[in-house]
Amino acid sequence: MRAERRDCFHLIEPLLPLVEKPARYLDHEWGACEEQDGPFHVCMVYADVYEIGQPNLGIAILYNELNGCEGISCERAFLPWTDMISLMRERGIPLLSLESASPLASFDVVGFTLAHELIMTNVLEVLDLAGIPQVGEERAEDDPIIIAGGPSAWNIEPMAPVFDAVLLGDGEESIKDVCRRIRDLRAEGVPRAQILRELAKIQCVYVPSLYTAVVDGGSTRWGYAVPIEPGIAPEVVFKRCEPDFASTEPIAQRIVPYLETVQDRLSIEVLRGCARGCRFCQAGMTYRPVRERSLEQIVDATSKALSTCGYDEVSLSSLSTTDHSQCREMLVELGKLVDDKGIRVSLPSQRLDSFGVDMAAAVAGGRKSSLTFAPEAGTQRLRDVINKNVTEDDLERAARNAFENGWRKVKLYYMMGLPTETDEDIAAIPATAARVLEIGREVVGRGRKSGISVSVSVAVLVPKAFTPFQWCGQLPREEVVRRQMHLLESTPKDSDIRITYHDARTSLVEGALSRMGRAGFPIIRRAWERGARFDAWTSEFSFETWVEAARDAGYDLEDIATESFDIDARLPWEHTSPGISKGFLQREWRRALAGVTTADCTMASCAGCGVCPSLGVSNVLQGVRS
Amino acid sequence: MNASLFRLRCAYPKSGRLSFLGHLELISTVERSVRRAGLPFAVSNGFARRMRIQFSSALPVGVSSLAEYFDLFLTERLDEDDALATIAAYSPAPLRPVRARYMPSSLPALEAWLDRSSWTLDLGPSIDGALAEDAIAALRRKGTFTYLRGAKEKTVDVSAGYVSHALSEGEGGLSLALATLSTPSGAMRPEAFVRAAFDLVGAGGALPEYLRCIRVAQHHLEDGALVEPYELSLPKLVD
Ligand code: SF4
Repeated sequence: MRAERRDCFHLIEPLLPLVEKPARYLDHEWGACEEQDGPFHVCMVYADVYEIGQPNLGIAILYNELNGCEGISCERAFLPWTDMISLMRERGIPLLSLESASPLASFDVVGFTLAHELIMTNVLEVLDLAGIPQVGEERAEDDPIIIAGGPSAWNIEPMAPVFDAVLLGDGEESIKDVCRRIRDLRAEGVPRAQILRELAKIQCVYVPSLYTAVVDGGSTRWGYAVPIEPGIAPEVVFKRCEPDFASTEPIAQRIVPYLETVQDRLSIEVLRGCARGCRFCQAGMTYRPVRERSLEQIVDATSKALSTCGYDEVSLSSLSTTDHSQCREMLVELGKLVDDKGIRVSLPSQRLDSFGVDMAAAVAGGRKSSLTFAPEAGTQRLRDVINKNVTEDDLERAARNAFENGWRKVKLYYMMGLPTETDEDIAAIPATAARVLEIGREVVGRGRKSGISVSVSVAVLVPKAFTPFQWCGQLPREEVVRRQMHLLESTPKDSDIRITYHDARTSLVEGALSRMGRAGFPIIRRAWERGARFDAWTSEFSFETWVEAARDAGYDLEDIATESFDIDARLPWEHTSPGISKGFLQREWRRALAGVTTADCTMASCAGCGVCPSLGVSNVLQGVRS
Repeated sequence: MNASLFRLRCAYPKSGRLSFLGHLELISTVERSVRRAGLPFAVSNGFARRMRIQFSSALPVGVSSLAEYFDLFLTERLDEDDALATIAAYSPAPLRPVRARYMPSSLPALEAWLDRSSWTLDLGPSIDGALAEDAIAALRRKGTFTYLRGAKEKTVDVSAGYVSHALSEGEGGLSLALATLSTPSGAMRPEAFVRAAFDLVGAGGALPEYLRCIRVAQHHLEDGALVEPYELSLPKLVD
């Protein structure tokens, strides 16, 4: 039943002195949309604490789009931290939205952004705390319609029973289409089940309850999804793609948080998509094609937003910012703009080959804390396998360049468990780190005072849907641990090289969640029932809980994560599509095994991934990329 | 201190929900308000080029205030009331500055200078005045108390931090007016003081879960006399 919409802040106010970081629950931040007149009410949820969820770009974009719609209001909700959850449960207080402090269960639509796989038990926790049935089938006529979207919607099957509808691809327009449609149908008194059928007619909307999983000789053990009745829903749901990206609002994040968030700065999405074609990268495959904003738009919007928000830092965000055809000019122009205010410009992880001297110098502000590079694999051979088109020379040049321009700390990101990886590839990682350190010492000096250090972070490959590695199983945990030991043993004893690696157990859960089909939902639900939540937090994650949950549901977790799929098998996620063709992914997989690289279509000719013809879109560049 | 800078002292409250901001959260919120206001603030020259701004001593989270201050260093001498109106327009309402005046650059840092705080605490309806007097007297005799701040145990010297107190009966129960002095080793938290006092006489359980506390004034203490934040004692006037 729909809860009553009313301001319940008085219920949590007395709890504020009793919890950590009460600023998480305050709302009323600068820029928040406090007028929430509706009459149609949507709440966007990021199922983690405020400081993680608030900087999420997806939530911000949808919040603005919906609040700009006549008759529709949109609020935010986050999952409270465990201390607050316990107090709320003890006192029977349901989860509230931020802006109006209304029960989440009183909204017309509740939308989740799924930024990664480990957030799934938190989604269940949100629904439970809100008093909304976790499974779509159990929801009453009047309950909110629960929708989802975001990067982890590309294998949504394990959570299919939870969501009434899933929006694939760019959400700017589709969120409005969906909410308006629900509003109109509700106004006409159309029953819930019929509303869901109508939603399935909107391009990019996947309604899981209209599909069933079929297991046959051509599928994996998880089967593939087909419409329960012919014609009721599309056989393949294609993503929505915003062809004119530059016409969208460049600065989505207008709310200025009180407490420090994981991205405590202004952020401008300078381009969307990446066509580098790294074969492990789901974002690279699913956000195509590449669409750049113009230099003028970026500089203008940044300058305005810095003054309306009051930040002292701006981050040029995207999957590959330094690939922007006007990146150099952009950095120079922004540098001028922000020079005398102690403002700095930051770039996410740099591309080794496009990070030139001038770019290094142009990253403004004096505070050159540390510079991040992601070579991803230790040897040239393995970098060719994963299509990371970066050479040893590129890395050395970029590192020298960084040290010469004032940086002292370099971070290197790698992955482990890549297809065809050998011990030699692993040992090459610390060897590279040592070489970078040596370059730093050559440039800056050898003494303690020089402050040079190199830190290396090694993640475990989680093969993701719609990547050329989607057929490979994850490396078994024992082998991950052995390779991690080998990594440490190969590292020279030098206190200026720091090696860290990801917990093999967390990666395994992530791997299982990324590979399983609809039949895997009982594992997630069982894990939640056994107390799993905040799985992405080392302090909260319990591997045993997941192993036991899988066992309860009749599965072996490691078995799920490490299972390889036949290259011709019909995969559990193939009824949804980011536009990329299976033939292209298969070809990329074969080229990977042969160590043959594929060029970036924004710099060379079309690689035939299929996105442009199947969605009727194309790359939009502002200049020539080099 | 750069003599060509103008030190604008702003008084502001910390009220409502925003009393739950931590000190660092408060600082970044005020700094962002100043940036939004577009005032010509000075920037430090160091490695990290930060806004030149000083704050009065940190309030414990959950404590509201009628008398907070920050000193903002400007590169241009704007009209005080214009500057105030601009900052106020870009500040969240519960932190909106109410007064702004230029002060000599030579004054010591604000946090150290405003060393005397006055507080009121609501002890709630179930506390009797005599018990409160006994508790406070007992703690003053004992001279120190320890409390947990996060995971760290802090020891407080009551004779250094305590100045005076007065009790009064109000609508919501007993109210305590407390004056404290901060020393170079730190400030005495009023709530910790009250809880330690009541614990000492075995009456800690009678206090409410949440002790509502307000900082009502801050002063500078000089030769036993109180100096208002905008007032200057004579020797300090020499700039
Ligand atoms: S279809 Fe061709 S041009 Fe378009 S994103 Fe794919 S490879 Fe690039």
